[in-house]
Amino acid sequence: MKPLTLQDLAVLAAQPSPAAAAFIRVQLDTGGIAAGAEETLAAFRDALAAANLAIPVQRVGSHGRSWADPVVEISAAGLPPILYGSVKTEVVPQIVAAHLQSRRLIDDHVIADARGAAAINAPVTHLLVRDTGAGEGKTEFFQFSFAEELKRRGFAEQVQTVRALDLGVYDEGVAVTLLPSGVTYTNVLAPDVARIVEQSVGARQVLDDLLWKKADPQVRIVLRNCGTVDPEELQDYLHRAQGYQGLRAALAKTPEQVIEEMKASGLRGRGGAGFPTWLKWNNTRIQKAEPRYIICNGDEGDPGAFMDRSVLESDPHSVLEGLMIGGYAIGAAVGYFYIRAEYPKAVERVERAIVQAREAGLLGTNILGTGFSFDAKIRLGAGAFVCGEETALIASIEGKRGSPSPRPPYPSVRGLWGQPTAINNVETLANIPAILQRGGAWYAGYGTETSKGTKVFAVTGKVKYAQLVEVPMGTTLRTIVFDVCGGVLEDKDIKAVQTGGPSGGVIPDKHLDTPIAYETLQQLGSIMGSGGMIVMDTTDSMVDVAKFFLKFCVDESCGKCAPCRIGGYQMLQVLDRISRGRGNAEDIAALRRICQAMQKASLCGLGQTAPNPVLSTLRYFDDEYKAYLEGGPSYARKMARAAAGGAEPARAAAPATATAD
Amino acid sequence: MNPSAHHPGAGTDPAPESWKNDEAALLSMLEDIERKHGYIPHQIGDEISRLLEVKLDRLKRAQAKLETGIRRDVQQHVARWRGEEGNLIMILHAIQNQYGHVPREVAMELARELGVKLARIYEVITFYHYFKLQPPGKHNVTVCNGTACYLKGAAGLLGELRAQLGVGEGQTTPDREFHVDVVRCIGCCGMSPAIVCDGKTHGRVKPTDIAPILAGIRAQAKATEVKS
Amino acid sequence: MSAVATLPTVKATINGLAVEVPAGTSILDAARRAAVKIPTLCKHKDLLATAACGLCVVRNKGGPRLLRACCTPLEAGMEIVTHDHEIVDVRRSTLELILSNHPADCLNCGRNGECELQAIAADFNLRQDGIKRYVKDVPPDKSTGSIILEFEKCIKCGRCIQVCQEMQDVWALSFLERGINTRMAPAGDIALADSPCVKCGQCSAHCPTGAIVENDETAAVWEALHDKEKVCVVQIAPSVRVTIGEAFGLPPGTNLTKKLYTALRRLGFHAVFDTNFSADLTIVEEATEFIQRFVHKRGPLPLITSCCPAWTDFMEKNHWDFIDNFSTAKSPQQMLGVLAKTYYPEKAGLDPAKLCVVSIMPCTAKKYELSRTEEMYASGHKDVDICLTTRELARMLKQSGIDFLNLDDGTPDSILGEYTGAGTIFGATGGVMEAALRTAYHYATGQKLGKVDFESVRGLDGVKTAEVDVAGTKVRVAVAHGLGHVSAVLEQVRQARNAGKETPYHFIEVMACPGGCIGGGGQPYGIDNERRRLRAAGLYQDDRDKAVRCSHENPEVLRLYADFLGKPNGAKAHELLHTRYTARPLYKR
Repeated sequence: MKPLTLQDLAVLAAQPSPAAAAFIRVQLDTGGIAAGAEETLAAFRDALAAANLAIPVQRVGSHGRSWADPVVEISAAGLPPILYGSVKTEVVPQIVAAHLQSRRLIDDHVIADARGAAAINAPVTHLLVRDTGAGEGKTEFFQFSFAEELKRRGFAEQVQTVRALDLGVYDEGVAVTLLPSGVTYTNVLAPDVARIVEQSVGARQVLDDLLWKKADPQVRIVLRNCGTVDPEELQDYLHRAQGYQGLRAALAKTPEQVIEEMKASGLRGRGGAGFPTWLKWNNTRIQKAEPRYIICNGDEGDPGAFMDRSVLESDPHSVLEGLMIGGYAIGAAVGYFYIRAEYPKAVERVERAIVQAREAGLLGTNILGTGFSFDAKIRLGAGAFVCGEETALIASIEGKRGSPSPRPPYPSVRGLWGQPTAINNVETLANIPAILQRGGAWYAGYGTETSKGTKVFAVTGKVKYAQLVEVPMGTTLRTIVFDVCGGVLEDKDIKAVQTGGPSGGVIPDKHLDTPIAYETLQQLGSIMGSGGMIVMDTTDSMVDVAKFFLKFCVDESCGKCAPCRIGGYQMLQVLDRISRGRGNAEDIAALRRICQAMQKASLCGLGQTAPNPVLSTLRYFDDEYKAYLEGGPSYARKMARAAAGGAEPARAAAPATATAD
Repeated sequence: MNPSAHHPGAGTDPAPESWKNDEAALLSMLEDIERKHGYIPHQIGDEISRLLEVKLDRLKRAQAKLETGIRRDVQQHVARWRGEEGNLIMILHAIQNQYGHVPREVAMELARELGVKLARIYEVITFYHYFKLQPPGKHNVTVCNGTACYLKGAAGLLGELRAQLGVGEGQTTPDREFHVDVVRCIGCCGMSPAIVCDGKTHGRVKPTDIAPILAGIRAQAKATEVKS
Repeated sequence: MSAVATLPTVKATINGLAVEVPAGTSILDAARRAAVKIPTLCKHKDLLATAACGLCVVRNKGGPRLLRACCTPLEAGMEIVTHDHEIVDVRRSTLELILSNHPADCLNCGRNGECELQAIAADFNLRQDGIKRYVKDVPPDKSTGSIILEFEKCIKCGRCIQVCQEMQDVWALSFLERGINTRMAPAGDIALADSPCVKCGQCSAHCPTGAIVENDETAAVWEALHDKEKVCVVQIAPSVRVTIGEAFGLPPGTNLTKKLYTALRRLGFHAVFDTNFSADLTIVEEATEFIQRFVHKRGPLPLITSCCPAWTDFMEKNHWDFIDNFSTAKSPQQMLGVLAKTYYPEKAGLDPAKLCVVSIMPCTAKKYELSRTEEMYASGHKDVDICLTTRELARMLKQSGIDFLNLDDGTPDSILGEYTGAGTIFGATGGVMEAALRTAYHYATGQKLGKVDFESVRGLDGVKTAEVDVAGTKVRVAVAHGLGHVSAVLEQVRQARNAGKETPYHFIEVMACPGGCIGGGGQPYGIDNERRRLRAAGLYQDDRDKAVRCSHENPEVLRLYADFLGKPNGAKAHELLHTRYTARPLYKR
């Protein structure tokens, strides 16, 4: 293959390839594959061959809607691109027969994004119906009503009524989305059916009183290509995703100017601590020692977080491009990907991306004829959470036990093999090509005063639609949980949201309206962390949750320094006693004392932050601990439900009365 | 490569025990002969020692073959990574992928071949949970204990596995058929709680699903056995 | 100090006191200069900071979190606070945590009264267990017979591992597993005796607690002393005389030879010999060997000293290609042992079978040497029956009610007791080389050496090299101490040998422990370079004080040859005083 030149990239930038007219894109990431996406893909190939249809079946990464895996996007038969969820193999023949051959959609699989459209510019082809309220029982009734109404008015042939899987609006009664325009009506009542059919289907008029006008809280910068480009094809990335245009922009600048651009963007490290990326790069760049290194930290270890995996699997070239730009900025010729061995798919795709980039002359010597030389290598983690800590990660790459070392010296001064090293998280790096391409100022237009840009969260736990969410900084937790993820599973009451993984804390429901930023979360006793967000309902015991996270830290402590090694273990013993109803008041005091020793005397972030889940639950759910001390686990659960206003008979029993019992 | 195909140092072999029986049988036979004749006739003694020599020779050859195999494997892995700094963990990954664990003989060979102290290799192996010193079971059942799975009942699945197989986290059934492990998040939070059985992920698993899943594995194993 | 003054310095304050220290000095060391003591359980003066214990936390004014004083360099303008309410609270909690993971059986511990953890707990005035105790029940490893690993008492400070891996290059001990399960153990969970361990005992000398201790054999010695059937005799190693005082509060280097003679007799030993005597004998044999090789070209060069058993063990396991270069002369301990069971009973009219020879050594590996090979039974019996370290002898003396420091001076037995200055400096690094050169010079030239001091091989540099003019020929010598320094020297020789070039050295001395025997693994606790210097100085003073300072001039040695052994390196000498070595590769194919 002929090495790419700057000229080639300039041509690509000027004339991006037109979108393919027809395609079937199967979202193949670990989650999708686990749900059977590979079988789905094969089933599509078979069904298309059987039906003699020549529609390209593409493999793409994940959009982030892991709750709906396997997810397939279909653009064919003159219909706009339609997203299907839960496409098991048995659904495939139905889709091929209905969608591809007769332009009809199938019930209970279509996912639509309701945001944005306010005009009906084309004849309506489909009505997507879904009851978004509690119980969700009225979908079928309204499907029937619309179908009848359409028949009555003679639209039955042109317009199909479909039960949707998800319309992107929640708790807004019955919602209807009109295709192809995407205009969405919410809180539709029975009398509205006729109006909609008559005015909107018939006369293409928008009914303003029903129109859903809220803008999509999501902004996809990191996830811009996830679910749309083939993560295993460099050409796809180059042609359809403005691939390596960020690198081209960077190479047109001096390294100092690149760092300046990063400074203007205000991007802060997305790994958790939020250190300004430009400063980290600058601190590495100003070192005299050579060689220097840049490392992509893909050791995503927080239980319940899968942002980095998803990005590496769905858009590896973006991360590689970010790594290269970073390498250029700090003056490094070698970059390392440090990826968890538990993510074989991510490793495979990054490996492939590196090979393809090398073949295309994007890695190697004299890249794009600019004189910049850079190569990337992969190193695997081996099951140690602590290796997410910078100094431990470096030790691990060097082939040693992943024990952190004291800082200073910081890796920017003495890092890998004793050389200046910049370590950036996957999400941070995925942002960088976009920033270089569109400018720091554009990026800084999103977010808050101190926390710029967007942040990806993996929202899981007791939430209806567990998925990846990318929102501008400053969005509230409530928006994420209720407007994007559909609220709490089984419509229970929310008790708290846990952020920051094992180093983070719980944020109780009363603080859900806090705008998310590094500082605000810290004030609430939690941290931004890498972006895990776990929703907990009123049946979840906070003492158990604290114990779960602490157990994690105890298992993952490297064991090097005493406060963390012994402190974590001993705290776990105390919590265990309390959760079994064998604790006493002194135990709480002991907990606080050990917390203090761990926070203050531990060597690295793992030990310093390990007490956070305990401290934050103590701070917000002190009563629960007390209930455990007083009456053991079953009593504590009862009290917790009562306090949350559950339908328990003990509702009236406030903690004060409980003590008297 | 199938991890179970090549297991130096696997503790499953009944050989040492049966050897001890052989030895006891030989001794009792000799005692019988001695009782009968009052001494052990020359020819019998010669015959026995000849047989033992043949056995010893075979043993040595088998051992040498195994050692050569290990050496060749290790040399290959080392050759792939020679010259790369910090290659130890990557080589250990390759070894673990091949054998399913890191056998002691292989670790020693690696120490020689790579010029790294055995102590350093063990420090690394025992630090990282991904590396195992014991051979895995024939079937591996991995329970995800990421936060999402935890909240949705991973502990119940683990309890059910214990009830079904009699083993818990990190343990292998005595017949080495099943090995149960707990991992930190396999990244399928969307389908929690999840377990992975021999590479296949099962999502939204309920405790009552465990018995059918295990039965499925057993049935499949039996089917392949019959076929081969 | 002038060299220090030229280095850039930093000015800062510690608890409000102005300090100025060379750039790069840790806060811990800087505080020490300001007479501020910051507690630590892991930092040792010989070693790099491991940052393991967490006790040394201090605060820099305005800093977000506490700093580890052991591994944070003092920076200009810092305002360090070492003791305030929070810091002391954090330290106390951390200490309680450490204690909660440590058995509370101080009274039955080998380090009782000499334990760093116990001392700090006392300083903090801890009166009760704040946190419930959790100690994993692991049986100790007693496999070597020299060193015992009491795993339960380990606080994971990492000193022994740094000592074993970095300082000594032995790689027997390692950290295994992680988190609360982290433990110090031989790699691969094998017995210490099956590991690369060479029994040097430096781990035990650096351990802050009783997790690594010498195998205490005082009970066996008491048993023998009380046995009416047995005749107990004793020998004391060169270095013991200048270190035993430390166990009684005297400064390092105080020479207590004569009090030791008296004390040992009071303990009940029938005869008191001095290993210094057999050190002289070793030199006569070894120097003869050297002359054989150097002058008469019989045997390969370099000649390498073999009197350190940890070193011979290390060589057999790691550098067995040098076996032919090893001096076959036994160590002084074994030479005295074999003579005490042959020559001595002959002279004294005793039954050798009833003799019990006890040696007082600075060393744990000497315990291993007693049964190293069959040559250690050259007398027909076990040549030396029991070996005690300096620490064990101190314990025996304290048990026995002997007011050691107020004893009158004594003398050794007139046979196997007289020594020269050359014998006594065996205990310090370079001493064997210096003693051998004094005698080799005489053997090669027939002349008496004018100035017997070879300063260039003394001191604490890891590797010392020198050229000595012997009868017009330059003898190139190298002295290495601390096993970590050996490989580099041997590699030089190996390269020359492989290239067919002349050897860079003719004579190499190796001592396993830094500083030589005065820094031995069985010496009183609290080793650092300052002590090594003072202890060595004590020996060199002893040397200077001696009228006779060359081994070949020791009248008792000369009489021994005339009476009993015949000629140096002669047939009888070979039978009794020499040994062999076997290659024992670590990872056998």
